[in-house]
Amino acid sequence: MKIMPNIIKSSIIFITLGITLTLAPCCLTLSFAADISISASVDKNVVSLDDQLLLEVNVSGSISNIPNPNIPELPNFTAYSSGRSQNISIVNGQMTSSVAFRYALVPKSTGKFTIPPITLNYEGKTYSTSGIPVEVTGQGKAPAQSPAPQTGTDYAAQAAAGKLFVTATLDKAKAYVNEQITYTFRFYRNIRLLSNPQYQPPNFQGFWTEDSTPKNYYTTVQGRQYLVTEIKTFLFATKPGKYELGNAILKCSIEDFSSNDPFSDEFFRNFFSGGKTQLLQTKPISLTIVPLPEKGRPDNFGGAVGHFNVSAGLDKKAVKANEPVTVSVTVSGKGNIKTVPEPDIGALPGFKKYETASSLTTDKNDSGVSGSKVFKTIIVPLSPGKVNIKPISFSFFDPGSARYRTVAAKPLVLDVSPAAPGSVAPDIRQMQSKSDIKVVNKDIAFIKTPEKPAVYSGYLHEKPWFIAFNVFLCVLYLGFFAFAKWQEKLKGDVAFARRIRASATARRHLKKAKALMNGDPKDYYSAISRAVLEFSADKMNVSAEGLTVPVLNELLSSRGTGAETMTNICEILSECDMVRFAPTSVTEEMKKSIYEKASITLTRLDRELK
Amino acid sequence: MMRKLLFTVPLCLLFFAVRLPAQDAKTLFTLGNSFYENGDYRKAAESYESIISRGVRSADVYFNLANSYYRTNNTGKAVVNYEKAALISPRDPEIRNNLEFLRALVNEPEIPFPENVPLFFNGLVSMNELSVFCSLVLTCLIICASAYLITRNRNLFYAGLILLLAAFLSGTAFALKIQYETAKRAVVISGPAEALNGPGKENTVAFTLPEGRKVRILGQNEQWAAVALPVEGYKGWMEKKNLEEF
Repeated sequence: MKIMPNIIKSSIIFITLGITLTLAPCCLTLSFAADISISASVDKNVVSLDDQLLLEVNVSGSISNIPNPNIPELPNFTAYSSGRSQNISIVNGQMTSSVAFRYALVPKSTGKFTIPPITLNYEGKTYSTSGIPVEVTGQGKAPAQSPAPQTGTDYAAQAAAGKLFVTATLDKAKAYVNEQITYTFRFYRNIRLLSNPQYQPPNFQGFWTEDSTPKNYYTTVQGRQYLVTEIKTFLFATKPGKYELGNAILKCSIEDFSSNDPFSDEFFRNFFSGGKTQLLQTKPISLTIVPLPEKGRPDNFGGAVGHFNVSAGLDKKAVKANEPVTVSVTVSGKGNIKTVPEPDIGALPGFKKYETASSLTTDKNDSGVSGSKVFKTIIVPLSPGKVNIKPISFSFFDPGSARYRTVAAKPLVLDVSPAAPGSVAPDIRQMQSKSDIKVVNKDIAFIKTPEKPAVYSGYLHEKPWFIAFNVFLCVLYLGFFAFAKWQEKLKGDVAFARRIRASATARRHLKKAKALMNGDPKDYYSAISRAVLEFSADKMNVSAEGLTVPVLNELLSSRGTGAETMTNICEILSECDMVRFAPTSVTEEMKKSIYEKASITLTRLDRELK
Repeated sequence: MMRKLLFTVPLCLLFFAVRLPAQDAKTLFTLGNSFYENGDYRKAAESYESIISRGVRSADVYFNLANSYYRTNNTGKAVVNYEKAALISPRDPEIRNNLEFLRALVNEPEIPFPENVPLFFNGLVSMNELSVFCSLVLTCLIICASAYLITRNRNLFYAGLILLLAAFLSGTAFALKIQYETAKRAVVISGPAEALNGPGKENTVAFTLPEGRKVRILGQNEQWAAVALPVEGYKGWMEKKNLEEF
């Protein structure tokens, strides 16, 4: 924890002033007269000799640069300035600023005195306050910020010794479980700090803690003026037993006076020496926590300790059946409000009851923690009629009187009229907002429970049928591709196509001839001759029409046909011509032999022709 | 008559031989589930394990087995079986949820951005789905190309080009998937296990791994496996008895 040093405070004031000065010109045109008022007050009129007075001078007016007031001579007091705070407000173009100047007055002697009027000069005019009577009494009265007795001696010793010291006190040495205990840490100093002090509170294990904002004030210890920073922590024990609160540690950096070099200039020494770090510690404090008494404990006691009140209310006085109503139960008071349990609404026959949501407000001041906790429960009346909800009671333990106490709220009355036709009790899901979803436990998803487990049969790409299928697809395509290419070639190259088809054509003609074997011999021989001629013509890509034996011979020999084949062809063709064009008798044997000769010759020719 | 009988008996035997493990698996699965539901997680795990020992593989069985192991505090075995289930059905939300739950439980770091891209794609499809997809693309491509050869239709040509690209991409995915699935990975099944600076007990300890952490296996001999933690970049040798591959 860091304590705001004076340097920050003054820089804030400086910035505020800067803003004021820049705003001033535009505001001055609007303000017609400098309307200044000055007042002075003290925090108490009676003060003991070892205490101090706080004098506050308030100057307010419609000007921006308020001058410092003149503090008159105070022979019976030592006066210290303890800062100023400025407040500027601009309403409808009219600026008002007020400055509070604070002074700490430490009395030097006893008696009745009057603080003389404090004056302020502004543009030639003088404004002044009235005098304030004060009385300084002897040492009899205990100082307001007196440390607890258990560390009193320690405190005095430290005060005598140092320019800065720390104390820690508890407001009680024995407390009940969950009772408020105030731990007060004070840091006294009368020298300048070089850096923000670092506060490390003791280990408050076993306690609920509530921190309060630090407070600064001046006090006098053994005639010396100290600036005190006070941090209060409110503790609530969770379990009975003996506790020891350890050291609270404060680390701060101060000017180093130990190295007293007579030749060095003080200014430079302060400037360049980083100061020395001082570690301040408080003494450990022991504490006894006693359990709450068993005797007289109410049944509905839930552990609240302090002083509480309970009130209850409904958001509607009259509703239709099946319509939701909110019951708000407020528990307010002093104590550990965070741990206040929910007061029991009790069974509500004829109602549907939903979950309770609670909200909390806490307030921390010097005397401790207070606040209120509101529990909101949604109830839905199911049947019409006038319903009395019995008073909601709340029990707590009052540590002051060491007794249990029970407080009760006023009874609630709800007028339920018959439900709108067709309405049903609302679903909880409709009444709770999405933010009400709370993940309570994260866990693995539950097991799968199908009728039977889905059996996995291994990698598909390792199955022979799958591989075979894909290979088959590829092979199929390759085949198709080759076929298509073949077709393409036949279409584009006539010579090639004729050559390829030559055998098939010849075979067709020979077949035709075979069919004619028993018919007219002229047709038979004509078919044979046609087969031979067309085969040769197709093979060599020439026209079969008008192909004579000499031309054929020449063409065949140029393509390297064997002599025997050529002779055979000549013989076949001339024999065919003989039968076709000359009256010749033809025997069955001749027909057969020419057919066979033609087949053999064509096979040979197919082989020999290139 | 005799001949008919001779023919029927082996057929029946064959039928039962195929039928028996499946029937068994169903019974054991139901038994395991009822053990699990009654909170006897150890017995449930035994039932599921006996299904697997019969050679039946099933994402459901691996998942339920993993749940049983998790409930009996065998985090490592649970992770192994969730991973095995995830390989079969990678998009199953429950498997993913439980794997993620255990990953967080054993403080396994999430794999950072560029390295998690293949992991993301591997989580999209299973090996077999990818196989079927590739085969489908191939079939379409072949039909399209054949039709083009016959009709010489320009649109078929473009469709063929797109299919060719698809075939190339799916083929690449297929190759990467095979690489991913065949990469050796393992889970620490008894931890914290020590990883040494070499194979053999005489070596110094390099680091220790908690149960349930996943490691990559770089190489192995009979007793020792060289492991690596890809995210942290550590490498070491671990005894194989502390690891289980998936």
